[in-house]
Amino acid sequence: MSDSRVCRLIQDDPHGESWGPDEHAHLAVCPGCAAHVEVVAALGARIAALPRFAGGMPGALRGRLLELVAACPDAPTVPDNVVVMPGTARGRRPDWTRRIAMPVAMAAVLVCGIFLGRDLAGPGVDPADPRRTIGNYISDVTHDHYLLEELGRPLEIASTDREQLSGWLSRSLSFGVDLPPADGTFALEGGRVWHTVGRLSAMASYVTPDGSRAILFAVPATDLDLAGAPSSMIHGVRVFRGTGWDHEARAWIDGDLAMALVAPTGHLPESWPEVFLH
Amino acid sequence: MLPHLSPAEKHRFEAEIVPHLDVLYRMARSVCSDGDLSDDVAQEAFLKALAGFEGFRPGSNGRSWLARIVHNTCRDHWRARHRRGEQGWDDEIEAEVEAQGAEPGWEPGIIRDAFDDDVDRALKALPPRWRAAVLLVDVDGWSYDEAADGLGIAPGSLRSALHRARRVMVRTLNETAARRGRSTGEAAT
Repeated sequence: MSDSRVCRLIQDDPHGESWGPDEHAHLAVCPGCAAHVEVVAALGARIAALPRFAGGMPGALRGRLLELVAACPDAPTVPDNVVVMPGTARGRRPDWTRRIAMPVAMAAVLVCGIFLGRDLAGPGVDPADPRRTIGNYISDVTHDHYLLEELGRPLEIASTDREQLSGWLSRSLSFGVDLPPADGTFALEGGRVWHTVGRLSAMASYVTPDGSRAILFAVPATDLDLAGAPSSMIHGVRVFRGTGWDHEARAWIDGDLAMALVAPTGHLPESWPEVFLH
Repeated sequence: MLPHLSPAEKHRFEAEIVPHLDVLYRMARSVCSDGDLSDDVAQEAFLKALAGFEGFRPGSNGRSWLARIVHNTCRDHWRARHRRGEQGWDDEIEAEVEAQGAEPGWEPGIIRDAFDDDVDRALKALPPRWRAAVLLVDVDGWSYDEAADGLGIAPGSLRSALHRARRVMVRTLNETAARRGRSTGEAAT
């Protein structure tokens, strides 16, 4: 590198951020560059020592600013009895996820479209979704007990008001949810949006005075195949029963919804479904 | 009006932003020149930082984020004053300042021997953006990239601003020294 180019580089970067061996060697033999570097360093030191900069922020101003932090009102927090799962946290997503979210979603829709289209067009394929059966519904809800046992009580919203929680679930989902009255036996404690047998579903958590807990699921009953699970009539309603993952469950149709009841402890007393069927 | 912050956010603000209060103060003092105004600007910038903390990504550079806020707050105040007929912020004033003389002599002794008032006057004579650049890089030792980020300009623009700012300051101090009877020597490049 020519001397003039090295001189220019040093004088453009007198703090040596981008210097290599050439620049260091040049500095030792070029009085002009050495003086330039020394002047910049001296200038910085003189400015730093000026009375109006020395000592940093005065204590009074610092104290005033810190008081402002302390005076900020607390933001609304999640109620104590609500555990928000990491996947549902309302935090700000990183930029890169926002940038790729749309292309990924479009690609996923395209791939799903290709596969579904191929299946529908193929010969001998039952157009009914084989996963949406009452048996699989019971299997899903019994499996989901892990939410309560492994993760605490992952409710998105704490509410003891049936209408309020029904409204919140309905607004959060693409279908209306009218939680049945629990006849005073169970106290509603909250709920969340969940995913069951291929559809978004509502989940509500109830607790008895002795601390036992029951979870009620609701999912659109459209296209749900009711064959394949034993059933009995309770208060004129056909109630399906099943066991999965060492847990018992009951399911029934209520208007447009398929309801399912499961107990995190596994055992579901016979009287519990009746509470919701009055 | 103070923003709502959860206890965790307050803790994070105290951990990531409060340690850089001296940066905030020096920038405000440097750019505003007027002591009373700079305290107001520092407080206003701090409030903006509090209000905008939700947009601060965890793990990003707190001091350059804060510097950007201070810089913008100073610029807003400066422009408000400019509308009232005082000195402006933009490139026009920078070109005007730079055009005032030739390449100065770079003599360390002149800088070391200058009076504090002379150094302060030379700094205050710089356009505000140049002052902020000198403060961050030459005084506080920020890297070019970080200072450019803090001032919201390209690294190349920052280097250019620094080069011109140093040259103007050295020339001003040389002229002051000459008036006081000290030789400034020849340009040493």
